[in-house]
Amino acid sequence: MELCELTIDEATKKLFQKEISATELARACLKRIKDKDKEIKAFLEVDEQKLLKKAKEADQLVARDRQKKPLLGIPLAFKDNILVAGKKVSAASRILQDYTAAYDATVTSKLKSAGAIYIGRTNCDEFAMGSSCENSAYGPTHNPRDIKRVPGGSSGGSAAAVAADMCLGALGSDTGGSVRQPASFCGVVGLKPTYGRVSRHGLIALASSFDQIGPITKTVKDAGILLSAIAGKDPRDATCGNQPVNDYTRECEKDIKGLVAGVPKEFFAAGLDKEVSGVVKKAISDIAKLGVEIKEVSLPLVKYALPIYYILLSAEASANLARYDGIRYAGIKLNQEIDDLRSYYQQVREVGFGAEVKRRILIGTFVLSSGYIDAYYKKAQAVRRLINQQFAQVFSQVDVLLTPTSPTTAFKLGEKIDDPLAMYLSDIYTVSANISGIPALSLPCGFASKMPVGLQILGQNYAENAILKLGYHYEQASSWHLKKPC
Amino acid sequence: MGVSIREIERLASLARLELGTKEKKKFTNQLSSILEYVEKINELELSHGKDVKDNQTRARAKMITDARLDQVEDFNNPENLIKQAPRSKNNLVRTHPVF
Repeated sequence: MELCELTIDEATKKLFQKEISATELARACLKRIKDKDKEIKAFLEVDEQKLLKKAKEADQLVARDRQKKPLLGIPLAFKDNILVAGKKVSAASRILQDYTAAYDATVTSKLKSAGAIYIGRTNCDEFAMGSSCENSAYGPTHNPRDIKRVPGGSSGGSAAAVAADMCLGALGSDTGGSVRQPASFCGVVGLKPTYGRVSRHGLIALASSFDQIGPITKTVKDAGILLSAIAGKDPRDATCGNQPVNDYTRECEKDIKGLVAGVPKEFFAAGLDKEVSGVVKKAISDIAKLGVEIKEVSLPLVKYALPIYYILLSAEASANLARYDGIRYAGIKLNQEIDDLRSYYQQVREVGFGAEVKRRILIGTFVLSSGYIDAYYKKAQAVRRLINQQFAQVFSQVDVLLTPTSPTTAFKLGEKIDDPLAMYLSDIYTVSANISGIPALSLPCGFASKMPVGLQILGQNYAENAILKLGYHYEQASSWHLKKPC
Repeated sequence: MGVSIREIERLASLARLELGTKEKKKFTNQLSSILEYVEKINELELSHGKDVKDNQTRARAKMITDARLDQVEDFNNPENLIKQAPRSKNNLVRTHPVF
């Protein structure tokens, strides 16, 4: 077994016992990147020098100081929309191609304090808008399981990097499924925490009432380890809750007998691939054998989840992306000199943004414009609240919900890129968690036509402990996480 | 709901985007399909705006209770942020003339 194939949990134990060194671990990841990334293209930038320097520093720390750093020497990849001070970050867009982060995101500084090491930034859909990683201005990432297929999106680079063991874990961001869906497509674990569980300070904003940073890892326990490191109140993010942060690793191992899981029938209706449905239903019956009570439930309003998501997301995105005006942040250089301010804005944004970004800005501008705002934006807000009420009602009967993560497995590169609506439908099962803010975990539960299938576990607000412990017990009983592509 | 090319031009102007002719045509078709899909929400009858008002009242109440005190704090490195801009002078971000 190569050292880069270790999980975070395994590697931290071996590092503390000095069975391996951080330098050996870093070199193993770098070798895997050199061997595989020409084909997969998960990374936009790898900082080899910094990684080896930090690994050496980690190896030289005395035992007393090592104990204070639970992630000492662990190489992690960061999605290209999370700020790391002094490093380029572009949101996979030309409009930020020369931008260097002026500060660390809160998650970055927390992981640094815990001893983790930044390996590089991973590819994603531009400004996190997409479900395939094909909307990057720097070319698509390929699925390590089948390079003719997409890794999913928008955190496709992070998911591919973890699946191919180029790093021990990664951070992504999830606005409508962008951590969970690529995790599902690549056969790894992805967690969207409760909205407000993790600070968004230093995350390039897409939709501020939906965005959450989440871990993408090889195992459920590893997701718990990273969540414990990045969660918590942050005075720089007013939407961050002050609920105490659990030791999510310990929570994983707690007993699940007596847990009640709901299976919402609307998530198993038309549009779900038959093979995927069979695999997920088998996973649910295996979960029942672990002592979990399974109940059928109904969430009739979820059929409006995707329509309201695209109304509200686009509205918030059009507002958040108004700041990219060519004046504040280094980015695209125009070929000609433009004197007039308005023309300058228009040119920079025309050349700097890709098609999907422009599309969503136009939708957002439309739904917020005079004459349409009541029928679209305000109505969508009201429907959002009704959906949240319905989730709250269902959670009075069950502890968690079990659904497929995505209606299909990873599709072929180029298959949906010319049909935006078909692409949007990939998110049909994931958006409800962002609309209601509830936490959601995706983990491998089998294969359909040789491609990974993800099981999604949804929980109540701040009940990451429940979804992680159920995920962990199912994972240990099923061993799908051991079926590696590379 | 279908949108016209004129509507796309109006939206592009509001969003400060300068679209090419092919782009305008493509977006006109695509936005029409997408808007037709999201209009599904009109199937739902809501009680005369009460839900909308409730939503807004609650959001406002939460913002007031969560707001910090309006106190000036020192910011320790404004130069670091100013130098992110492509053009700056005397610790100010430089822009084209507004008028």
